[in-house]
Amino acid sequence: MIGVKAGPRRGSTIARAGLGWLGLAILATVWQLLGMELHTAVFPTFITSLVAAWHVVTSSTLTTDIIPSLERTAAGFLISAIIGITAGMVIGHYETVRDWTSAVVDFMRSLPTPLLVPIAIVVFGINGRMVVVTIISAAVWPILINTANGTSTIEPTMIDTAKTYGLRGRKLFLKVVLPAASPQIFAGLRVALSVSLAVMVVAEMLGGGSGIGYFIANAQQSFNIGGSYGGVIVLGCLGWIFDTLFLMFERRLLAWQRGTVGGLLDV
Amino acid sequence: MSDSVLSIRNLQVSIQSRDGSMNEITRDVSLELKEHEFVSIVGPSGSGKTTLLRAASGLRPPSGGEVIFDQKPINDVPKGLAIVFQEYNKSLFPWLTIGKNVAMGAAEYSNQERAERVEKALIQVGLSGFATRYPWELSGGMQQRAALARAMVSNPRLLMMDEPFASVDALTRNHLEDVVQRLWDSSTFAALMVTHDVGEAVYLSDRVLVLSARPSTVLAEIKIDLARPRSQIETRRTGRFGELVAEVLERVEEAGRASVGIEDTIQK
Amino acid sequence: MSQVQLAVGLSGEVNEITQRRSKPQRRRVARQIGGVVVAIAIWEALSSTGAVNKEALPTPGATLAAISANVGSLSSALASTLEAWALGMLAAGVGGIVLGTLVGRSKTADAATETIVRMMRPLPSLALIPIAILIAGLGIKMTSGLVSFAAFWPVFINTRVGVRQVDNKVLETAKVLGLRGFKLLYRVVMPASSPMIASGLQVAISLALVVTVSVELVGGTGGLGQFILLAQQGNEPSTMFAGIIVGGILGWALSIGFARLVDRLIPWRTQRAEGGR
Repeated sequence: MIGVKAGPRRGSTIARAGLGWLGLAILATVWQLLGMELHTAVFPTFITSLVAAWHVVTSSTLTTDIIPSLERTAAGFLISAIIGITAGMVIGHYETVRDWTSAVVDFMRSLPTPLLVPIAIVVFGINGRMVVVTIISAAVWPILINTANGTSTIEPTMIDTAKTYGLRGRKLFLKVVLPAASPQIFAGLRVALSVSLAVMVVAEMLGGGSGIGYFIANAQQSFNIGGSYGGVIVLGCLGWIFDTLFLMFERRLLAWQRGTVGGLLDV
Repeated sequence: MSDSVLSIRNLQVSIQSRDGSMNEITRDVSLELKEHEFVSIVGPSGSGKTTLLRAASGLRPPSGGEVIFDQKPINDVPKGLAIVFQEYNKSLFPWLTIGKNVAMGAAEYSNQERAERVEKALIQVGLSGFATRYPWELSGGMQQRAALARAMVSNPRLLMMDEPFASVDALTRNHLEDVVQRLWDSSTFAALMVTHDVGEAVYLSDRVLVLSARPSTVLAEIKIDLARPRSQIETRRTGRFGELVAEVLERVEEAGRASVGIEDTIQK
Repeated sequence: MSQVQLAVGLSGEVNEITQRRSKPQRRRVARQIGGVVVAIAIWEALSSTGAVNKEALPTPGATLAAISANVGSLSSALASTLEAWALGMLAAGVGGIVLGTLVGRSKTADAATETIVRMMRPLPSLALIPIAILIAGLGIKMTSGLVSFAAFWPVFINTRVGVRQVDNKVLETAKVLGLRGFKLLYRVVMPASSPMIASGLQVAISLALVVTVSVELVGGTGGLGQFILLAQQGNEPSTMFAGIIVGGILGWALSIGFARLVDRLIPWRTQRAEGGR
């Protein structure tokens, strides 16, 4: 995770953010100049690409491709989260279950998931359901593994304490194991979010029938180069927005962690 | 004996070690804890004090013998038994405020009564006004007081403490000892404390049991006939206090000498 | 290490917790193998009873037969995938570590790259496949280029954070001992941040393989991806599964192999990398 230090001075924070945007501006300028210099159709300038991105967002592509993609990503991510957190807690909490499953989980998580797309197309056909299933087959592993790690490394004293106060079974999981493992669960969820987006794109390129990945691949094949670049920029912005929203959500939920929230330090 | 809160009879605990062999930690420990009695268990390093406490409270099943709490054999942590652990930073839930942490001990009461009990328990340990703080905002001693409040909030019949003051500095430790003593004086619960600090055991207890090295048995029982209420300065100044400490220390040293061989294998 | 053991020795009670947590090694391995056997048995049961369509899920036996029937084409596909992966990984590893170290050592460069990193990190590199095809055409140059672009970020980010987090006390001690410039970097900064760099490389290794097979699938540029695509077009589910299983074994071998290597090179990693990433 990118380090957030406790209570940085306000001035230096602004300076840091300013430098950060300056870095981005330099990158854009280099892109612009390079595009102008090369003057080739396959490498449009930064501004041309931005305009193309604007056209993508304001055209019918928004409803035919972008929104379906968002729905598929959201569905795949949420289902992965439910499966991954539940299974991860069970695997992490019971050593026996962990031993029995670890080899299989290890194999499944190292399998490069895009290889599953052709078989998913055979089973589900060319549609959104295929995309969602492929997303789940990839995004569930980082969540499951992080949850299991977070669960198995909970301080034994914490479990003892919970048992002393009569927390058993589902209550123990919901009230103690889940919050205690939540920092690691969130780290897994954040990885899974970017995995979901990536797998969504490649599944749609291969057989989504619609969606932003389908749009980008289609634009390339029909030599709509602006469309390809525009689609990538839109996707990049979506990824950035998701990631930022996710971090805000995480900071709120994990506010009890020392130093993650300024308000607590001010007391 | 009808007036005993807890009886531990011929308790034996073995733990499976890394290579799969069984490791006998506790061989044969028996003890009777009467109503409102304060008993401490001291022993050399590695005598399995924590293991003994976990088995006595029902947190782990014993390999032999039995534990009777309130006339009933236990196989789980029973109602009316509260535990304070050494590591306050691991036993307080960091995602709950102090108030909510303490409220965990009073889950069976109605909302209103729970709030009242939490408030009272926090006042008892001198933490009123800290209910909305998170554990990390409190010092170590304050956190351990919050853990004590959580244990007291349900009016337990028996309070078990595992090295409760081992993780704080010496002055804070004295203060915490007096907090515990005051709670015990003003209430009716019995207390069973495990510690390696002989002075602390003598200062707080009615009886001190000395454990032998692993596999442990009860080596000696020393009655502490110091007047109550006790005070850090007056009680510790008396000659009787010094004599008792020396007596317990002598027994612990005896046990420790016998355990040198075991210490070596642990450090290897 | 000695401090940890000392702590255990001083309060023997700690032993119980560790012992409670680590069961005998032999039983663990037996259970892992048992788990694999059970998984294959479930697979067999699902496919041979017809609970799942045979077209979608061929039996383990049929898959094994397909692997042995296609040994030749599978191994050349494997070699081609590995080649593109290795070239991309090499560029990403060297580039990520060098640039990450430079940026991590300079406060200004660190701040200036912060926003770029924040935007690039969640960008799905796989979306760039069509553009990479546009620019570089189909071929190993394009595949490896895209692989290195994607795999660069986790290496770069982790190196940068690792270098930035090197304890000031360590740096001061090194300076007192007379280490300066390149020597300081090589003897102190790099070893101190190596656990973080290693976990960045670990992520990059899997990501690079995902990108490699994705390019092969989308562009049809050979390798395991194209092998599976051809099997799909030829309507041979057991051959598709053969490719998937081989791909899984490849991914598994690469990540296990790297983990073993790291264990050997940085034996103190597990203690230092706590809370890393």
